[in-house]
Amino acid sequence: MDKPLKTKFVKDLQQNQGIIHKICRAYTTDDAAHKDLFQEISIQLYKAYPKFRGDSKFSTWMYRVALNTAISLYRKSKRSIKTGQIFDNLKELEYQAYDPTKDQQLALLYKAIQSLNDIEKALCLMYLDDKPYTEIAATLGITEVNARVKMNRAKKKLKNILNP
Amino acid sequence: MVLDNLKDVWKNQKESAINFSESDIYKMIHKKSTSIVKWIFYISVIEFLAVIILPFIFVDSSDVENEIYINTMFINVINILSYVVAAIFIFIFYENYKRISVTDSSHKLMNTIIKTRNTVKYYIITQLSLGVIVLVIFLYKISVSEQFLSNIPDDINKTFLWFSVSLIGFIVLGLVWLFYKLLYGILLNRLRDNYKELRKNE
Repeated sequence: MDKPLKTKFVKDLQQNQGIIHKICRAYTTDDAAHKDLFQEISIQLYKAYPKFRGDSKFSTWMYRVALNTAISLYRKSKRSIKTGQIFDNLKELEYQAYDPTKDQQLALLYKAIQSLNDIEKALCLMYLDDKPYTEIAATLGITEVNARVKMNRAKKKLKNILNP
Repeated sequence: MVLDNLKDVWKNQKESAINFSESDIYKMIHKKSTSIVKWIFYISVIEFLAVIILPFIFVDSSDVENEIYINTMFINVINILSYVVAAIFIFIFYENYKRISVTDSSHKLMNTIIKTRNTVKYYIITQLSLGVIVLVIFLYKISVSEQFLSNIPDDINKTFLWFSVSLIGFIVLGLVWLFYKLLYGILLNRLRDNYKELRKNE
């Protein structure tokens, strides 16, 4: 990669890093793992960047690569999150207040997403980010109909976790 | 909680507590080699400790002396020499690791990768040469040791005995070489892949 292109890549990545952080937080449970995943995603993006033609927005392309990196890494490591702990935390949070603040709600949401499997996580992230089904299907490499079916299941599962 | 309501919470979430600068990211995409060099350093330390500790556990050196009829002087010199060599290499491995951790340009990184690969190569060559020297001196010493020769029963073919002892010695060295090849080979291959990638991207 030549220098100007590299500089542009780093700049684009820096400005859009929020997208990656959201994905990292959904797929990992501690800061060290979060940073590791961020680095792995950055490397994958860097490798794939010369092939990025600009047909879509940088952020859209980045979202797709980042999510797929997270999914494949998550599959490889097969590390499981202790769901029992999450449910305990959920109960604790619910007892704390009837109307939890936005931060608490967000923390709860992340905890719930963390307990889903790799694909369900991706689906829920894309649902919350209002991604169109065409994009969801393309990102996961499945048909749109299949994406809708899977999405409904994932949403139902997420709802069940949030409202035990 | 209704999922659609959570969308608002999701969209209005604050920036992540972790925020990387451009130079952070620049370093990140070049740093795959750091962990490999770190492991090379760790493995060399573990190996060094194993070499120091294992003889204490398994062998009482006074027994060895009596059995193989070699004076302690020789064993001590070789021992000290191998510790010094190992310590020097550990130091160089550590230097490589430190250098690669603070590198921010891919050019310097490539240099460090080459340097690390060379260090490992020299390390293996030195350790094996030491092994060969010890083996040869050992064979020579027992071949001239009256005490040892007088203990060999007469019905054993001497040539055959020397041949099998040397063969076993070289097989052991071969196994050590294989062990190094396997252990460091994997790490070095990864480093080489990273190097190629960096060159392509330069």
